[in-house]
Amino acid sequence: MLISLQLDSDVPLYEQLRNQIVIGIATGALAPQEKLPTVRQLAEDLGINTMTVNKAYALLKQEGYIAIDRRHGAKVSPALPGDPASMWQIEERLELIIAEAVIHGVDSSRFQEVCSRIFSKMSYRHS
Amino acid sequence: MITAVLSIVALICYIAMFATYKAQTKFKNGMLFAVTLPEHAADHPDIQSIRSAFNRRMLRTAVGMAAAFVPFVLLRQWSAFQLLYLFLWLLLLTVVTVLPFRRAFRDTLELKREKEWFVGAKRVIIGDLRVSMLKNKRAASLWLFAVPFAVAGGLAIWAWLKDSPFYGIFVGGIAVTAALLLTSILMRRSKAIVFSENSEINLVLNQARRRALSYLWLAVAIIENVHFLLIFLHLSSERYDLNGIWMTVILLFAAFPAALVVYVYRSLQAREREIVANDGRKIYTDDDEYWANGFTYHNPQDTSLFVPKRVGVGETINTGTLAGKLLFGGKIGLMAVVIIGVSFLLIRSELTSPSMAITSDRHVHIDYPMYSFSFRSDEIRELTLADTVPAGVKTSGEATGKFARGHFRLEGEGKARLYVFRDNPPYIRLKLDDVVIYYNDKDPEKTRQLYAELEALKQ
Repeated sequence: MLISLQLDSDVPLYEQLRNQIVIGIATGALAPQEKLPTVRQLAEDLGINTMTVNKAYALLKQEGYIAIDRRHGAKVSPALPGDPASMWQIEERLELIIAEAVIHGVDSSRFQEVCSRIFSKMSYRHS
Repeated sequence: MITAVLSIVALICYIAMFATYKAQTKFKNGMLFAVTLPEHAADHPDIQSIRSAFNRRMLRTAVGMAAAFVPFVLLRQWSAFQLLYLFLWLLLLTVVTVLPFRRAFRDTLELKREKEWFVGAKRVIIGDLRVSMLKNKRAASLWLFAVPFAVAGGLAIWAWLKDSPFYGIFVGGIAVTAALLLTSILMRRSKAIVFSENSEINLVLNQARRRALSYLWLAVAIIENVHFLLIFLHLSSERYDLNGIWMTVILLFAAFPAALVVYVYRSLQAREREIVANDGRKIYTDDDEYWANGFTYHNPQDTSLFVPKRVGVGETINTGTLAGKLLFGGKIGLMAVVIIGVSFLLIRSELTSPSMAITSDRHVHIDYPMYSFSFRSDEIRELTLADTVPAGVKTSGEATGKFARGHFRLEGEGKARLYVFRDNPPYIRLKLDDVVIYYNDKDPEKTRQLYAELEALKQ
C-alpha cells in the first residue's frame, strides 16, 4: 500500500500517516493482522524523523487500529466486532463536516450521494 | 615514461568528464539536463536552443582543456612541476566541464517554470509499506563479506610472516573491503524507490536492485583483493626487467571492477524502465528544487544520507543532513590535504638535494628530509665507484625520472638506500652489513671528490 505525505499541508505528517493507514484498513488495502514495517524501517524509508512515525503508530495503537508487539513489530488489529456505540464520536465529527457542507451550499441528497460512493470503496469485513 | 602514464590518466579523466556531461543532452529517465520534464517538452524549440548552446560551450571547453594540457607535456624535464601542473589541470577540468551543464540546467529549469510544464507532485513524500519491510529480503547477507575479509586478512598475515616489507599492501585490501561493506550497509538502509502505484512491481524491482548491488559489492571486494595480490607479487618478484609488463597488467586490471559497476547499474536502470513502462502506472514526483546545481542534492527535510544521482551512476550526498555536510566537508578537506601535501613534498624534493658530510669523529652523515642516515666509517664493508645503479623497486621514498631517494630493493643487492640523480654516473656504492647505499652528486666531479674523501677515510 502506498503512503503519500504532503509536506506543505496544514495537517501534520503524523496525522496524514495515521489517516492513510486508517483508510487503508477500511478499503482493504491493509488486511487484518497484516504486518506493518517497524517505526525505524518506515522512518528510514520515508526519509522522516522516527518520532513522527512513532507518534502515528502510538495514536493508531491507542485507537485500536493496530497492535504493537516489542518483538514482532506492528500489525493491523484483527477484524473488530462491530461497535455501533462508537457512533457518537463519529456523529460529532460529522456535525462539523455537514455544517461546512451546508454553508457551502451542498444539499442533503448530494451529500448522501457522495457518502454512498465513498462507502462502496470500503471493503472492510467485521468478525 | 612517467609522462606517458600520467597522460593516459589525464585522458581517462577527460573522457569520463565529457562523456558524463555530454550524455545529459538526451532526454532520459524523464529528465533533460537533470530537470524532470514532461515528454512533449523535450522537442520544444527553446529546449533545442539550450541544447545547441550547451554543445557549443562543451566544444569550446573540450578544445580549451586539450590545449591547456600541452604545457604538461612540455614540462617533461621538471617532474615535480609537471605533476603540480597535472593537479592544477585536473582541478580545472572538474570545474570547467561542469559549467556548461550548470548553465543548461538553470536555463531548462527556468523555461519549465515559465511554460508551467507539470511533471508530478512537488513537496510530497511517497512510500510503499510492504516494500519498506521486505526490500532487503533478497539481498546478499552481510556475513558473506567474511570471505573477502578472510582473503585480505590471510594474505596480510602470510606476507607478514614471510617478513615481506610489502605486507602493508594487504592492509589496503582490508580497508577497501571495509569501505565496500560500509557501502552495502548504507544501501540496505537507503530508501526504497517507489516506481509505480503497483506495489508488486515496486517490491520486485527494489528487491532485484538490492540483490544485484549487494552481490556486486562482494564481487568488487574479491576482485580488488586479487588486484592487491597482483601488486604484491609484482613488488616481491625481483624480476625487475618485467616491471613494464607488471605495471600494464595491474593498471588494466582496474578496468574489471569499473566495467562491472557500470554494467550492473546500467542494466538495472534499463530493466526498471522497461517494466514500469509496460505497467503504465508510473508515479511522478518533482524534486527539482532540491537539486540546486543539477548534480548536488540539498534537502534538510530528508533524513537520508545518500540519494540516487541524477547525473551519472551511483549515489550522491544529501548536504541537508549533518552527516552529509561532514562527509562532504571531510572529502574536500582530505583532497586538499593530499594535494597540498604531495605538492609540497614534490617541490621540496625538486629544490633540495641530499648532502654527504664526513665528520672529525669518522662518522658519515647523509642529510636529506625524512631519509637522513648516518654510519661509522668502520661499518663500511665495500666502497666502489659504479657506472650504473641496478634496477629495482621503491619500498618508500621518492622516485621520479630524474632522481631516486629513499628505501629501495635492488636486483642482486637486496635492501638499499638511494640518494642519486639518475643517468648521471658515477655513483658511489657503499656496502654496509645490512644495507647498500648508492649516492651521487649532480656534478660528477663532486661525486669523484667525495669518493676520494671516503677512500681516504677508510684507510
